[in-house]
Amino acid sequence: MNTRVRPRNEVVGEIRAFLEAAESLPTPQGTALRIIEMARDPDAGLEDLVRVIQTDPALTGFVLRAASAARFHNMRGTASVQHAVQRLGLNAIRSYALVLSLIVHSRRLECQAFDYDRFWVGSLHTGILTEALAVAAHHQSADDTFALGLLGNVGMLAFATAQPAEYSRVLAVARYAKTELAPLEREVFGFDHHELAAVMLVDWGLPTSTADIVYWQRDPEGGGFAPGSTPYLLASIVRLARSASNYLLDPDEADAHLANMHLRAAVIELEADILHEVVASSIDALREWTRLIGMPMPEVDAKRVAAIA
Amino acid sequence: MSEADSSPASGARPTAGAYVAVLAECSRLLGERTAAQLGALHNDLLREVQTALRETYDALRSDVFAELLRTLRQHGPVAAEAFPPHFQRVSRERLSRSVRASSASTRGAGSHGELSLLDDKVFSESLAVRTQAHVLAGPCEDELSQLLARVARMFDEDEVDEARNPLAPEAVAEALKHACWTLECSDPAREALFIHSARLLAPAMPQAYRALNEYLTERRVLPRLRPNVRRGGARPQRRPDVAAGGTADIVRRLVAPASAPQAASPFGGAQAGNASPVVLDALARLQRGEGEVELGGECFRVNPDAADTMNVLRALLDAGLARQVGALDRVVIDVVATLFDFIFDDERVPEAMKGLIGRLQLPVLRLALSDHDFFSNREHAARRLINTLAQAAATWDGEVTPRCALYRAAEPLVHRIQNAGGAELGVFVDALRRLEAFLTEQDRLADAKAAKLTTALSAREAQEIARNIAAGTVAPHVDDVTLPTLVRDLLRDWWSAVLADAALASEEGEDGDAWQDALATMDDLVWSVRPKSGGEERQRLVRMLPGLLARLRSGLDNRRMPETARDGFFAALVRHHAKAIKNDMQTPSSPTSVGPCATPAAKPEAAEHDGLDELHRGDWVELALEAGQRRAVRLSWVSPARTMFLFTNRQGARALALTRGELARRFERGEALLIDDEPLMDRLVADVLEAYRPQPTGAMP
Repeated sequence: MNTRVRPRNEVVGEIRAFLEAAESLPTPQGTALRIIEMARDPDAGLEDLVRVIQTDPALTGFVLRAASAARFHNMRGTASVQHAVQRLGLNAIRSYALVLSLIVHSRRLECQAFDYDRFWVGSLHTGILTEALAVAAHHQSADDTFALGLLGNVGMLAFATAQPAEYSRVLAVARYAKTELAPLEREVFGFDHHELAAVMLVDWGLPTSTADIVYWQRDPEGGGFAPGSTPYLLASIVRLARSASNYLLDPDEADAHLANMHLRAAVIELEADILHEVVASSIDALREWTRLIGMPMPEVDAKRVAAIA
Repeated sequence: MSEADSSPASGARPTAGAYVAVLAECSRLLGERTAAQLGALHNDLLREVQTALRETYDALRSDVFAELLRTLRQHGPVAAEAFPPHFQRVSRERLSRSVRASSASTRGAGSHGELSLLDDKVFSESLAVRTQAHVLAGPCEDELSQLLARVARMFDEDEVDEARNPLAPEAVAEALKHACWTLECSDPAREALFIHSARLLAPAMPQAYRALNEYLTERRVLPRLRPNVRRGGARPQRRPDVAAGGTADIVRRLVAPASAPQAASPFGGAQAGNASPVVLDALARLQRGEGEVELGGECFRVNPDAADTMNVLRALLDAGLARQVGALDRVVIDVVATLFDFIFDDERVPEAMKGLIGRLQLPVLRLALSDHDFFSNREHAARRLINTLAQAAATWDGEVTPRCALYRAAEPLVHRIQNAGGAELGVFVDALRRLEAFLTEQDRLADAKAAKLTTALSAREAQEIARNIAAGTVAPHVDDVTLPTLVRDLLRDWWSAVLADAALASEEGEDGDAWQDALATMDDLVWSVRPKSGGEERQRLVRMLPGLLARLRSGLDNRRMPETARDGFFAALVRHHAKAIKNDMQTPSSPTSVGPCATPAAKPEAAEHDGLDELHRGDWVELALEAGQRRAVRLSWVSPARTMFLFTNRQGARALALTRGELARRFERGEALLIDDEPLMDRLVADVLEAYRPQPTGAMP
C-alpha cells in the first residue's frame, strides 16, 4: 500500500460507524439479497442460482445481455440463462443483481442535488466502457470488469441515501466552485465516496481485490500495485472509462475529461484510434442497456466522439 | 654590414639606435648615387642653361644665366662634387634630430611647439628647398612611401614626419642647395643652378629610392612591405590634435612680418609686404579668363581651361611670380598652392569636383593675399565653401560628373566667383549659402525617405528584441538534458516564437498578461513532463492538463504550427505525461524528480563594445558594394535600442537598413569606413601650416 496516502484501515472504522448510524442505505433486496447469500453458501449450486435469477425478469434480461457483451465476442451468442451464468461467473451475476436492486429500490432519493438518472446512466456507461477497454487493452483476466465500472461510484449513492441533505450541499458546493468532490466529502464526512464504496462492496461480498481497484481508480499509481499488474491496469482502465463516460455525458468539463482520457489511454498504451472506436461503440451499447433497465438515454454529441481520435 | 647587424634583436622590436649604421649606409649610398647622377647630368645642365639664356627676354635674368653658364664651364660639375659631404651632414642632422625628438617625446617635454621668430632669409631658403624637394619627390611617390615606412620601422615608430627622415627628398634638396652655393658666383646664379639641377635630377630619383628600398629589404627591414603602400594611406590620418590656438599661433607668426619692414629677398624681386593692387589686379584678370598678363615687366600666362586640372599657382610661382611680391606674400602664395596640391592629391575628392575647386585657385589666392583671416578662421566662407564642395562630392552616391545634380548646382556658383573678379568675400558667402540650401534640400529628401522606413524598422527591432528575450527565456530549458527532447525542441522551435509574440502583444512587454501566460504555460509544460511523486503531484497534473493543453494548442495554432506536427507533438506529449505519473511505480527508491527550472530567463546579450555607440545621426559611412564599388551613405536614423541603423544616400533615393551585428561585421572587415568628417580645408590648412613650422635653431646652416 502506498504510504503517502491515508491507510484505508484508518477510515474503515469511521465508515462502518457511518453505515451503522445511517437511517437509510442503498441495500440489496429481494433477488439480489438471495444471490449475495447464495454466493456465501458453499453448498449452493449453479441450478439454484439459475432458478433464483429466472424469478426476476429484469435480472434475467440483464444477465443475458451481459453474456453477449464484448468480452465474449468470439463465442456464440447465448439464449440460455444457464449458459449465461456459466459464462459470466458468480461474481458478475452478484454485481448485476446488486445494481438492479439498487436501481429499483433507490429511485425515491431525497438528495436534491443528486441526479439519480445521470448517476445510473453514467455507471452503466462506465461499466460498458470498462469491459470494452479491457478487451481492447488485451486484459480479460478479470471476469467482472463490467461490475467494476458499474459499482465504482456506489459510494456517492450511499452518501446521497444516508445523508441526503448534507450531501446535497456538498454536491452543490463542488458544482458551484468547480472543485473536486472527494476532498469536500473528506472534509464533511471524514472519508470520500471511493473509500465508502470499497467498504460497502466488501460488505456485499465482493472480493477485496475488486474493492481495491474501485478504491484506487482515483489514483491508480498510488495504490501500491506493481507496474503492469492486472489490478493496476484495471484501476487505470476504470479511471479511463469513467473519464470517457464523463466526457460524453458531462457538457461542462469536456476538455478536462478528454485530457484525462488521453493520459490514461497512454498509461495503458492504448492508441487514440482504438480508444475512439471503443467509445463510439459504447453509445449503442448504452442505448440498449438504458432501454433494458428503463432509464432515459441521454443525448450524445457526435462531434465530441469524433474529437477523441 | 652583416644581416645580423641590421636585425639586432630577435623577438624584441629593434630600437632606433640599432639601425643607425643601416641609416648611415643608406645615406652614403644615396649621396654617392645622387652625386654621380649630377655629374652625369652636367652636359645636360649646360644645354638647359644655354636654352634659358636664349629664351629669356628679361635682361636681369639673362645676366644670371650668362654668369651661371660661364661659371659652370670654368669650374665643371662643382655641385656634384660638393654634394656627398653636404648630404651626409644634412642626413646626420636629421637623424640626430630624430633621436632628440624621440627623447623629448619620451620625457614629455616638448620644444616642438616652441617657435623661433621668423627670419625672412630663412623662410625664403626654406621655401626654395621645399619647392625643389617637391620637384624631386614628384616622380617617386610609391618608392618614398615604402622608404618612409621602413625608416619609421627603424625609428621604432608608427610613422615618421618627413622633416625627420634623413633620406627624404627634402634632405637631398637641402644638400643640393648647399652644394650649389659652393659655386663662386652670385646668389641668383646659384639659385638658377639649384632649380635646374633639381629638375634634371628628378627623373632619376625613383631609381635611387628603389635601390635604397632593395638595400633595406635585404637587411630585413620590412621585407614584405607591399609596393603599393602609400604614405599616410589613401585616407590621410587624422592630424594629431593641435592645442587650441596652436594653428592660429603659427598663422600669427607666419603673418607677423607683414606689418614689419621687410628685408630684401635673397632671391631678388619686390619688397615683401601685402600684395599690391597691381598684383591683385593682374590675378583678377587671369581669373576672369585673360590668358596673359604683364606684371613687373614679366609676362605670365595661364591657360583658362587648365585651371581645373593643374596647379595654376604652382605654375605662376615657377614662372617667377614670387619675384613680383614680398616675402610674406610669396609664402602665402606657396601655402595656397600647396593647399591646392593637397586637394588635387586627395583621393576622397572626385576628379570632377577637383576640377570645380581648382577653378577657385586664383579667387582663393586673391582672397588669402588680401585677407589673412582665411588661414586662421575655420568659419571663413571660402574655406567652408571648399569644405562643403569636397564633402558633398565625397558623399555623393554615384559618380560625380558634369551631368550630376551636385555638379550642376555647384558649377554656376564657381562660375560667378570666377567672374566676380574682385576680392569681395560676399561672393563666396553667397555661393556658400546657395550650396548649403541645395544640400539641405537633399538632406530633407533623404530624411523623408528614411522617415517612411523607420516605423517598419522600429517594429522589426522590437521583433528582434522580443526574439532575443524569448530565446534567452527558453534557453535554460532547451539546454536541460533531463527534459524530453520533444519538449526542448518545441520550446526552441515554436514556443520561443509564441513568447516573442506575447512580448510584442502589449506595451507592457514582459509585464504584460500575454507574456506571463505564455511563460506560465512553458513552466507548466516543463513541470508536467518531469517525474511525479505522490498523489498530490499526479492530481495536480491531471487538473493542470486541460488548461495546459488548451494553452499550448492555442499558442501553436497562432504560430501556424503545421497540423501534422502539432498532433504528433501532443500524441507524444501524452506519453511523456503517462511516463511522468508512473514515476513512483518504476523507480520508487531513486527519485529522479528535478524541480522546476528556476534559472532566470536570460536577457539578450548586450552588444559587445563595437564602437557603434559612437555613431551619430548625420555621420557619413562608406560602404563596400559587391561589385567592388564603394558608396557613401549618411546615418539617417538609429532605432531606439540602437540595434538597427538606417542609412540613406545623399540624394535620398536609396536607403539601407543594417542590423547592429551586420554593421559591426562590416566595420570589422573593412567593408564600412567612417568618413572623416574633419573639413577638408581645416585639415589641409593645418597640415600645410604645420609643414611651414620653422625648424629649431641650427636646423638650417
